[in-house]
Amino acid sequence: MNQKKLSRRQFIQACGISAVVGVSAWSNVFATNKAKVVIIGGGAAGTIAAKYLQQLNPALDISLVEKNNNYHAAFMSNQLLSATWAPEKFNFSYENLKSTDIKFLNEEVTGLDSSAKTVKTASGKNIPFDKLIVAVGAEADLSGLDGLTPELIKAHAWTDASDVSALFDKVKTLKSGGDVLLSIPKGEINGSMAVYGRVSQIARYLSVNNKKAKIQVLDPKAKNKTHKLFAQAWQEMYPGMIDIQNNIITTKIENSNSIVGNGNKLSADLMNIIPPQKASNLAKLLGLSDDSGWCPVYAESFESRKIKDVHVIGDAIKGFSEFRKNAQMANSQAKIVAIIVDSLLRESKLPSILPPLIDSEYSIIGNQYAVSSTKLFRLENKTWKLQTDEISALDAAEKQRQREYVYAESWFNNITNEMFS
Amino acid sequence: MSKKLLLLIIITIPVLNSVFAASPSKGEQLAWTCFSCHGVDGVSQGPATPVIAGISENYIIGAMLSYKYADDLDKASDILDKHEELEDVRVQQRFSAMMNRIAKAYSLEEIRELAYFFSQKEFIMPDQVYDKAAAKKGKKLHKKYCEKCHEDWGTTTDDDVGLLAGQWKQYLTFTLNDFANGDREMIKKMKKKMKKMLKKHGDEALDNLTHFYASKSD
Repeated sequence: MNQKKLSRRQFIQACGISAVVGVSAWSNVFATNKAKVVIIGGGAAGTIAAKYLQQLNPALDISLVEKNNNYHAAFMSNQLLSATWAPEKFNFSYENLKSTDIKFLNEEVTGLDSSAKTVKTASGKNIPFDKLIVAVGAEADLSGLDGLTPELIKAHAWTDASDVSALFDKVKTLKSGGDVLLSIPKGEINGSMAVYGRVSQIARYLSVNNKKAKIQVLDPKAKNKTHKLFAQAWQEMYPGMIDIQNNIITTKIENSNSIVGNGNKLSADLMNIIPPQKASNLAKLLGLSDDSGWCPVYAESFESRKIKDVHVIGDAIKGFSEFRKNAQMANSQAKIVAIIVDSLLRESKLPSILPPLIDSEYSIIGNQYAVSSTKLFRLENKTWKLQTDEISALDAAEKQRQREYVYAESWFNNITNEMFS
Repeated sequence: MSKKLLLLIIITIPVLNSVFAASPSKGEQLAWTCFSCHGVDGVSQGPATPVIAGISENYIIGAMLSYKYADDLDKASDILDKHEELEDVRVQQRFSAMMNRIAKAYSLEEIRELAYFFSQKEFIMPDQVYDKAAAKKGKKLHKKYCEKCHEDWGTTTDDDVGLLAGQWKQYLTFTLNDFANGDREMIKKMKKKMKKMLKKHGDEALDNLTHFYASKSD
């Protein structure tokens, strides 16, 4: 049909029809059929954003840009430190994703042109987008701790699951009755409760293989309900092995066996210094992070406060109220941003209703023993309001701990299946 | 064909397409939040979180309200009394490891949307390892004590009963034990049957039943 032949009257009639059927559907025909969404990062947030956007509008042109060809899940990877989960359990391939209509681009992003709306890659491509979703995670902040080096970051094995096995080797070769010191950084980290999960898994291994070993934990936070829960669990499972000291801030790594905390020199046979964190360097390179090291976003849209039409989700964001950084939160934010971006492309407005955000972390303490903490947030008056905040009860029945233990594994199986099936 | 009619068709086809191409409803979007624990579309990958796809609407509403109002079940009953269409929904004392924290955050309206969504999905039975001899014993027990309400070997949700066949074994073990220890309330006729079964066959009966259901009620 030749559009030029439309008379004015016919045009008006056509408009009438579209008004009856709905303006939103009409605009969809023109605005979104070929709309381009580029997602950077194929982790817990990026894969989910891509999949759910495609469900919301199969006509979208969606590209997922990821520099690695395989994924190593960092969440739950503390289980490697007790040799209770096999390393293969954490490895995933993008093969299934590649067989969908989502374009999987195995490329490293090197830049962003916010006026031309293109993403540059190391191989020289310029990928155009109408909306960009950045899900690039967090990483160690090299400048955040005196004495920290890239080698030490790797050795202390926090952000990259593939480093955890090497740390396990050190736990295995700890001298009989030796001491381990684990230091928690000040500021937000990804997997906030996972530090105590790590201590638990090291203790789980040592309690069988090196019974007289001791673990000291330095924590900058004042004693809170999480500490009380873990202290009780450790007393039940590993009596006398773990000592936690609150209000201690590690300021310097002196060498592989000593650090400075609250001005005092502290030594141990094996150190595990969890480095301070910030949004990954790529977020900074793209101009999305601020002086805090994290990426500021608007609560109601997860759109960057720095660059228009760019949405940031997952560990890299500067969180609201009591947001934590974890895989569950990344997954939850990804679904919400998919709904937001779809609505913006379809109707040029934000969705009227959004599901809640679920922020949940499981920590396995020992065999048949796990605890967890769950928060729910709802968007209210342009901010995410904490609606519920609950942690496993102190003095809970054995069967409560046992169920959380198997639900922790079920959660891992389901969330990774959702990402990679 | 007149030009006008042609124009109408050309304009309405893509519009209707985009309207009826079943963009996920708000209820479905709400259900996505549940997938990271209960599996995509409620089909859990296990080993413990139950499959919730294909469970009856009333059953899910009842379970969610039981968790939400765990501390005050009378309140849940009062709310149900105000909704005639929910007269078959039953609330009960339920042991909960996680759901009591989550259910609190959802309104009745949202719970109904979630229940509708999951009830429309297909219950896909996972392949599980089970003991054949135990499953055989479980089959006899099911027939004698359970089949009257959990018809067709526990494969239907008629009368809003729980789906048993093909459910994750670990979950069934938890649930049956909760019923047996009084950590989860039973309706009168179930209580009677359970008592009778345990008296005659002991705790082993519960284990045999889980093996039978894990066999997909083969």
